Amino acid sequence: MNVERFLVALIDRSPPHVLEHLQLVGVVLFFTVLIAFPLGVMLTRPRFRKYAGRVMFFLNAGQTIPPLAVISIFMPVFGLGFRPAAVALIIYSLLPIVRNTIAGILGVPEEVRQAARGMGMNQWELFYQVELPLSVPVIMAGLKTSSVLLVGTATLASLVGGGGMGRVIFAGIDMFWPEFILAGTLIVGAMAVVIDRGLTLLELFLIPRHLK
Amino acid sequence: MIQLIDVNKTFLNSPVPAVRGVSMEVKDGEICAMVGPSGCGKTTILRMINRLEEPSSGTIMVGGRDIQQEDPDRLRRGIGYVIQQIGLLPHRTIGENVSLVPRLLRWSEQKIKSRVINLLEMVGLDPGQVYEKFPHQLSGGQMQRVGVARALAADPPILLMDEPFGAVDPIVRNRLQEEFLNLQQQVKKTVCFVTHDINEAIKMGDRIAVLNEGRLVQYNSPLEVLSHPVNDFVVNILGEDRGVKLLNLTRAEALMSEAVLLQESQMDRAVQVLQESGKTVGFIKPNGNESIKYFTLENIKKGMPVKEILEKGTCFIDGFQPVKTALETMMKRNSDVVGILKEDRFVGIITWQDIKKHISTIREHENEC
Ligand SMILES: Nc1ncnc2c1ncn2[C@@H]1O[C@H](COP(=O)(O)OP(=O)(O)O)[C@@H](O)[C@H]1O
Ligand SMILES: [Mg+2]
Repeated sequence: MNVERFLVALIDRSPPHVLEHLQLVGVVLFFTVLIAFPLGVMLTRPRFRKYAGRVMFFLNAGQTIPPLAVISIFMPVFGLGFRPAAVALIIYSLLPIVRNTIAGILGVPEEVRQAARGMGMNQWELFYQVELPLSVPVIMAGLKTSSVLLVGTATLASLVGGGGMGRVIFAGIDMFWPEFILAGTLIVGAMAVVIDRGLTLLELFLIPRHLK
Repeated sequence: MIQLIDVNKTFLNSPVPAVRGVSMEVKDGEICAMVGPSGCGKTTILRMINRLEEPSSGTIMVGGRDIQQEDPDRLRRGIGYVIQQIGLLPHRTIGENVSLVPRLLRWSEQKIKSRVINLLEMVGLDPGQVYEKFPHQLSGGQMQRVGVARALAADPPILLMDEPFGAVDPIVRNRLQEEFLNLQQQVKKTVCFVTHDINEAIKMGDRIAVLNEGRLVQYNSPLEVLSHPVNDFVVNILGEDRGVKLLNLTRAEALMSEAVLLQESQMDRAVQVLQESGKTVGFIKPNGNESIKYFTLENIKKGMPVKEILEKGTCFIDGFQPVKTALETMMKRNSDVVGILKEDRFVGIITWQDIKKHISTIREHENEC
């Protein structure tokens, strides 16, 4: 273990890649939520509920394919770089959020839904006044799972030229420099913790009042 | 008024109809208690009235209008709905829960707040204590009261109640039933009250609708159902102790002789006034705390001046109390007669003779059966 090399990895090599990594994670999360949340909500609407099972089947299947494979599959289509890495990671991250959005909304007690309908709430009022606030804890849990997973898998982006902390870690592997591997993983781990904490704060803000 | 005209309902995924050819009418200000075994279609009928379910055929009219022509959400905002599981919104305070419908109707904040406070008091809750609380901080009985307050919030003429007191223990249930009957005297809603408990139906209903396998078997006053059950099914539902129930559960007002208020000036022609009114008891308005003075048509026939046969009423019960209570009161107070009150006003009397006559008619019916 070479302390000097460890410090070089940590202080000199990592910072730009930390930024790339965060950017990748941010962009991927943004689009994942943008797709997964409405998709989840749509699949709980009476009209589409019958498709929920099938969509979940595909998303489950997608999740079981190793992330590296997902990233590689998109290489021939999108080529190298940030974009194909992001697209692959988005697809890989969808499942927990879609699943938890569905679980959260369907988890609203039936009697609460019935009473709210019976009082004369329309579908939209039922959704944003009842179903949405009550499913925040479950949806946020999905978002956290997805984010923490994503911070880790995003290291693979460097394999298709997507940048990020993978650059530091894979450099370490290529050169047999454990210091680089260690520095890289520590930073990735720290990022996961920070993002998880950050989302917990957001959750505290969004969580229904009776649970506070 | 609620009218069902030949209403049928068959659920999509079910081979047998849940409701078959039900026609009935709930009059304004009346409580219709729907009773029958589990799965006989009570809930389905209720949910068709506020269009949470659509009938397969038939017509339902509310306030003289075919509900099929109305916007379901608007319809529901004008119909109170209470269910056994209550379904309060867990993330809203009690105040917010009660104000749900007024808010949907976009009342002003000021009006909403005073209405909510008023309602909480009406259902026997302390607004200062519960207003800011969340549902999970209340007891079952308190939550059910909130459920009733929420249903009444926008002062709908109609109330649908699906086993509203089914989930609380018998003591609380009893109290809630009585409080609701008291409340109903003030608010006079048109109520559909679903229960599987025949005792509750008899206690709560002005009329009882007995249902079996989706069909309306009998629709009559509790007294009529108890004394003239139309078939074995109804007899079975009423149970072995039908005769005792009739006594236990007949409201005192059903046996009462109605009274008419006489002015002092009418005393001389009291008999005539009484006969013209078609009633058999006359009474004089008491001064302050004095007890009521009354006379009956029977007494007067003996030819004495009315002033001398006036009797003092000393014990009173509420009209919706069972005859049994009247009997108990008579025994406790060593009296042959109790006065009947409705909304704290004297409306009639019930005598030991009335009860005895009533028992003998039950006996006759039992022998017939
Ligand atoms: N949504 C539904 N889908 C299919 N069948 C139903 C549905 N709701 C009720 N039923 C059936 O309709 C019948 C009447 O049910 P319900 O009105 O709930 O009875 P009750 O309230 O008297 O217990 C039952 O046989 C029940 O299984
Ligand atoms: Mg039911």
